[in-house]
Amino acid sequence: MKKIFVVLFSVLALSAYSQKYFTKSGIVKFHSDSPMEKIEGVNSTASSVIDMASGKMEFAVLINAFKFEKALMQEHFNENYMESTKFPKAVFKGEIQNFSSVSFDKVGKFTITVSGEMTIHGVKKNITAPVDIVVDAKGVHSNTKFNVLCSDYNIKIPSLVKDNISNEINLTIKADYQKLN
Amino acid sequence: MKKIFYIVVIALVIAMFVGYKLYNKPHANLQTQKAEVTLSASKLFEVFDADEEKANTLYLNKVIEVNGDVVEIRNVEGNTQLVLACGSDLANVVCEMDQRYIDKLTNISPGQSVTIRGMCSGKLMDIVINQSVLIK
Repeated sequence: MKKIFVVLFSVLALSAYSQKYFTKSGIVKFHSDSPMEKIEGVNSTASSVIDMASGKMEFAVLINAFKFEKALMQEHFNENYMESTKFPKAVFKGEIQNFSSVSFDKVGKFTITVSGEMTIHGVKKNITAPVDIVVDAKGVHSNTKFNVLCSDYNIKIPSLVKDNISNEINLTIKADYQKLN
Repeated sequence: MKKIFYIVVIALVIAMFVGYKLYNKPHANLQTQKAEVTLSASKLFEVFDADEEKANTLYLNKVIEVNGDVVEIRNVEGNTQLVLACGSDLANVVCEMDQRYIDKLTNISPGQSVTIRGMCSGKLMDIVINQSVLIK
């Protein structure tokens, strides 16, 4: 009887200490602003996990899941620029800086800094970005904006279309995290 | 000389017309396209879970038909997503629906068994299928 009680208590204690938050419908928008054209793609199936026990954060998107207004753009994005059959995902693996002083347990708004390795088109690069966090009754909501350069990830823009596609891409990422039970 | 001029002008107009049509071409319509593979959501997850690379060669960027039970219908940023159970506690098959055929979903509710045709985008935690249409 005592054994069962100990095991039960341990399991409960462990689950109370589970500090993982996740989302499977994060939104990633990218925007390219150039003299001739504005290009926008939206992905609403981004996946992310934050482990507050270690401060680690992972974020991933499937390239084929980006939607564009123009079908031709979506095709070119996948086949020519991102080569999504070869590189189906873009992945970020990093950490929240000073995570021990960050808490998702209290309602509030604050900004955290996340840094780590971004892999796009098979190329890895370290990045750092500020992320705005809102904690409320519904969960943990994140919002971040930062830029990436196509040239950093070996994404080639032919000179013929360099006025249609900007080398600097603006990313906006929003996610609503739930605690993993 | 005049003849050549006219030929060049007509060729240019045709080129511009073709270019315009291509630029504005409609998104792939999977309602009319045939699927390369038909399988259950559970089987799809099984293959991805066992060997993701192999699953990608089989299904990534291909039109597939998946049948399974509806867990949830949700709307994210204007996109309707039909979530199918696939036998896993942690993962589902998420079908992002083609907004042009949204009215086909009006009578669909959680618990129902459906067949969806869409383009497989791969697996993160969930398996994602895009440009999906309800088949039955």
